[in-house]
Amino acid sequence: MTGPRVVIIANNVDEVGGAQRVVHVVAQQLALRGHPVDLVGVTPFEPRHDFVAEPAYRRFTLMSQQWPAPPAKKGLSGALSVSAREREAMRARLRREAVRSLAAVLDDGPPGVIVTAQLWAMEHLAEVQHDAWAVIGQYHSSYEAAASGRDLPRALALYADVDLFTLLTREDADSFRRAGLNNTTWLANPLAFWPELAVAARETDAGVVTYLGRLSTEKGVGFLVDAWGRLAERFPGWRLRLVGSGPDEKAVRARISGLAVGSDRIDVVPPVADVERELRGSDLLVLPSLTEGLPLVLAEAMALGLPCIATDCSAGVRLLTDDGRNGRLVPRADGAALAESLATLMADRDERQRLGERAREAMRDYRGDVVIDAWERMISDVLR
Amino acid sequence: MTSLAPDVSVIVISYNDAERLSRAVRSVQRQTLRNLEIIVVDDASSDGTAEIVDALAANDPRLRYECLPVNSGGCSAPRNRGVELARGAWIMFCDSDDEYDRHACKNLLQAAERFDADVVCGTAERVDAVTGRTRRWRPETHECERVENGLQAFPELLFDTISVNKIYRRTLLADNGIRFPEGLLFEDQLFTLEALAAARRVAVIPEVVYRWNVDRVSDEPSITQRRHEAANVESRIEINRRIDAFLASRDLHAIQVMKDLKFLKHDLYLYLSSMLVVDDRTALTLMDRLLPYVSTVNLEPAWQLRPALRVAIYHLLVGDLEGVRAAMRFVKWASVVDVPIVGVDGREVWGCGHADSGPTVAGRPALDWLDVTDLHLLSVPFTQRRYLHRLDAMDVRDGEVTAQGSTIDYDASLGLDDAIELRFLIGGARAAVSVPARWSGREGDRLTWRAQGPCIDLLGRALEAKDRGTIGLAISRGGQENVTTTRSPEDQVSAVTVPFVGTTRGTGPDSLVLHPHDNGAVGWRAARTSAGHIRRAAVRDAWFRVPGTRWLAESTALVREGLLPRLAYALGALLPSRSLALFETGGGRTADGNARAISDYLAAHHGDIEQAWVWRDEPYRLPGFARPVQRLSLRHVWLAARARYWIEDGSAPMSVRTPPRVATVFAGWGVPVHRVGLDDPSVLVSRADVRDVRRRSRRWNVFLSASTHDALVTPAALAYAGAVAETGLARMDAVLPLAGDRTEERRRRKVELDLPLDRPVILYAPTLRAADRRGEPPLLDLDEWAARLGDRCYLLLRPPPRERFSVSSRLRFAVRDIGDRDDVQRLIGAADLVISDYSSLIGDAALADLPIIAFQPDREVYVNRTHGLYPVGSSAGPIVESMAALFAQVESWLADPAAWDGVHGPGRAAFARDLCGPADGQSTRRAVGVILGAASGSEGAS
Repeated sequence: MTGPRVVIIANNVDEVGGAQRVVHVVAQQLALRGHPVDLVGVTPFEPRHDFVAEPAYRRFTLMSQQWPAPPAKKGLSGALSVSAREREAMRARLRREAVRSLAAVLDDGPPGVIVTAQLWAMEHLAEVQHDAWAVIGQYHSSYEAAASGRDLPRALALYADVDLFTLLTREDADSFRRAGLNNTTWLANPLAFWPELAVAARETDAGVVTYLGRLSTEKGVGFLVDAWGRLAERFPGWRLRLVGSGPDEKAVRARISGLAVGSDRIDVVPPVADVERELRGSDLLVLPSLTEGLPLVLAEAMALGLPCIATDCSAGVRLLTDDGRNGRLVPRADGAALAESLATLMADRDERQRLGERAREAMRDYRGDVVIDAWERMISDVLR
Repeated sequence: MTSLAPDVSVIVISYNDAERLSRAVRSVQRQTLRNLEIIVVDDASSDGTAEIVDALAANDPRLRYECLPVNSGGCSAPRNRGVELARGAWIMFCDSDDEYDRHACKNLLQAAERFDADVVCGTAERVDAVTGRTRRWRPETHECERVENGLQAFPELLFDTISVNKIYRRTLLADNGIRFPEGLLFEDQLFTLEALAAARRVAVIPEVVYRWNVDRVSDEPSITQRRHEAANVESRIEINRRIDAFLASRDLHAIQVMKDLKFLKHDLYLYLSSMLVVDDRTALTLMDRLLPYVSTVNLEPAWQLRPALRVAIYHLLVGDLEGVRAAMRFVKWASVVDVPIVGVDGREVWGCGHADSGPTVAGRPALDWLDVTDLHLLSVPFTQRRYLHRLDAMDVRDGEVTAQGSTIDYDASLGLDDAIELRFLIGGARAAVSVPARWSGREGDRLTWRAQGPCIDLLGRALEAKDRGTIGLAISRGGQENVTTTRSPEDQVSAVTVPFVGTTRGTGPDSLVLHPHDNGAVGWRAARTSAGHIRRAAVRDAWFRVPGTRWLAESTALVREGLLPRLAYALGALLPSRSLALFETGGGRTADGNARAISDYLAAHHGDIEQAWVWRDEPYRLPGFARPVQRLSLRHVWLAARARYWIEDGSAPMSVRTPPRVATVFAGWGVPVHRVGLDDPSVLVSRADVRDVRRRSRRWNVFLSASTHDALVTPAALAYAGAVAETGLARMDAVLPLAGDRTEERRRRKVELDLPLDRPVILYAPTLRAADRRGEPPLLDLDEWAARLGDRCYLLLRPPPRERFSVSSRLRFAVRDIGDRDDVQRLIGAADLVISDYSSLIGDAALADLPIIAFQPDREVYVNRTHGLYPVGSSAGPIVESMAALFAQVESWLADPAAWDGVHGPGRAAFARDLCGPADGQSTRRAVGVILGAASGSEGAS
């Protein structure tokens, strides 16, 4: 039996990252349940990563080249600069190319449901004739993050008319409704895997604290390094692993070398494909972010039974973490508080075990099959 | 899909409304729920509705058309016919002049299925056809999702009487024989009630489903005019009788009480209001029609109504039309008082002649019915009173305006020696022009007055065509002033035209034209009335139709705004003044704060320094010794180029520049409590804000900091790299150093601001919450506050800069919105307690040793997610996060201020000492020293 066709459009589906992993997981699961699925990335990214060993879905990229940043020169000097004008022309060409290719992808099969994973993807869809399709729009960050940047007016304009606009938490859906949208709902991201075996807390004086994610300002890695500096002396056997890369890598390294103690026990390693393995080698996960949506890595670590400390920075984090019960929340941007929370957990194996067990229990709602059931209900709802 | 039964049948009814009908039908056709049927029931239109529907049905097999053989004259018959034809499991209704939200059907259907409800109500939105503004209908019932087992568990739903914002299970209607009553208006009310009463489960969703287009220009007056017609009143009464009978037959007593309240509060209110606009005979007939039913209604719920409406109902019941009108004027006309208010045994009574001798009604004596103590009309301060000034006539002849009118002196306190003048107010507040007036006599509580003066001289102020306002009467007494808008109940001044003096040229407005507002107020708008102005404007508009001409006109404006200022700057920079100081605060809207303190000090001690203050909109409270400079004028550019000192608070326009030799002084914002920070990634600010702050801070070369704490955090937060001088808070020198008993001083300031002297004054000054809270009520719930503490203290509300709160005129006795322009020090000097959240005003209050409560209901969001506090937080006083906790603190302070201070005083003193800078009253002197030194320093360097 085949279900309705599903086309998922995301900004890029090639780069290693949480958002990409989610769309590949959803595409694969829906395809395995009998939906013809096309996964579409707007811009390519090198190196191209494969998330699913044997994909049951088709994969497309709309632009032939990576989307370049806008030229730095603006106004009169921009108009006079040859390179800036070339860059603008290239952006316009890629944009046209993307719209054309998207129309071709949509035409390559019967109409069904389109899912746009981000605003930028929706901006491309808006230029393509798609009246016969039902559209599910998504936004993967919190309402507060949208309201503090430029996303809110974009989201209100782009998503007012789509069949359904899904946010990651009920709190975010309510906020967008109050801002004027009448089509909001919420749906959590699915876990990429459900580990059969939980990790057990080790009695150790040589543990590992892990951060897994991009090294960029909004992730607040600097505060984690700061916290490490405050407690490293007390835990001479422990190490801190920062797994990821990003625009702030240099700044993070500079901050590490500026530490009085403990800088030699911090490892900065590039992003890994096998997240589960990385987490299994860890004793504690820290998510020091300043803004978040529903952070997947937190959910995955919790599903493994790994004790976690996260900053109280979004409805999504609060949804996953019941502070003190199945994890710990600390205020944002506060190295001292983070250090204190870390130190208590590092010193207390039983507490780590207890938090980990409850965390795993709480994550059963985010298992792939549970979330994909909800996806299928949503797909039949929008087609009614 | 069409072979299956549709999920929802939408019944669209129409009568001779073909044009709007297609809009309504299209809004149903483009629903996100696709599996529906649309049944258009035409009430025998004669305007080609059938063809329009045919066209709409061309590509849409879901659409069916049904035409009644003869016109039924109402909504009931077509809707009933539609229900008979419907095949869907669910039914919805839409009127031809309205629209569905795109997601209406899906939201209602899914809620019905999710909750297993028989009826689900969505939110309806009234859309003003002229302005496009929207307002939610009965928002209090639709705030959040709610599901209940039947109407008895959710009696408030009774107020949601319309049928078009709901979805009904078809079998519910069929099994219970629920139909719209034919031959009556207000058919929705009975239908909705029967459906809700029959439903096992009912639900409400907050999503907007229905857009109800209200054409205020054509519809509303007609409805109001029809309200007194026999059919209208009799239908209304008949519907209510049927509802009563229905409720009685089902033993739904609790619902009956709610329904009686609804009748008094909404239905009867409409008829009482219409008595203001119809003639005596019509109004008396209306009373005769209403009385037989109203006298059978249970009047107990009247005690839940606002007092003036209760007074109106009493007058209806005793058959006193003028009494009804006086009370309804108070209700409809922004609380102006039309009758004497008398004090009886500590109660305030509506003095209309019935108080002593009026009949007892519904078991309550007249005195109870007329008790309006809760309106606090006698205890409200003079400046805040709302007098009823009738403007009976206005005449323009030979370049002179004459006007006459009368005023109700409702508590016998006005005197013929109080000075008065008639004022043309811009936007309802600021005075544009005044016409001298004088009292001409007194008859009992009615004072008459006349105004006479030259036609309006607006040469000093260029009005724009979009300007509008009202006419008020200002009464001055003992340094206090009361300004209340005049009313013209019988509209004797409509279309009176008051020409300006001396505008014979130009294309702009040349006069004011008077017109009435909905609330009886006399309004004016700027207009072109002389033949010359109209002709010139027409010529200009015609000229602009030639391609390129508008561009040409605007580019000459560009030259005016671009080239001339550049020239002025270049010339000014070559001719530097040796002593000119240019000041600006609040973007030209205020003249206060540290900069003002410095300006006053310079005037007193350095007379050789010439001063200029920048203003915008109007020269508001500028010091008399300074030259007023209009913001962004050529002179502004010229003086900024020539100035030796430029002192501002971060609000001066970036487009006005100064040469590098000028001492550019940032006078500071006060003691930082919340983070503003570019240095702090946890503060969520947009990139545009960051760029703006960087550009601003780069042009200062002196920062006058309030304290060491300020000097440490603010430069980093603003990415400021110039010189920092720890001078202290100059603006607080007016109160510092503290010495002795300050009661007398405080009393003097209260008198100055017309604040009550019999109760403590509490200043509530919340901080700016950026774009997300504009035009909303403050976080402190004023209604709750007034009900709980209104008679024990007086709340001064100071909105943050450029924010506006809406304060109901009902609350005048307890709350005054002082606006954002008054100098904070004047307010602090008069207050007995300060409530704030994260504002730097906490620092000022701490220096003044005033009790402080930090009310932070949004602490969770503000502190943790969007802003953050400095670690010092607000240790200046107790932090409360709920209204209940706030009341507890304020009440404990009211009960024993000394004991309260014993607990919180030491913390505040430490806060002041550690974070707020010197309290010696010498800050201004130090600041002036720094500024003069900076100027000579930069001169030496250059």
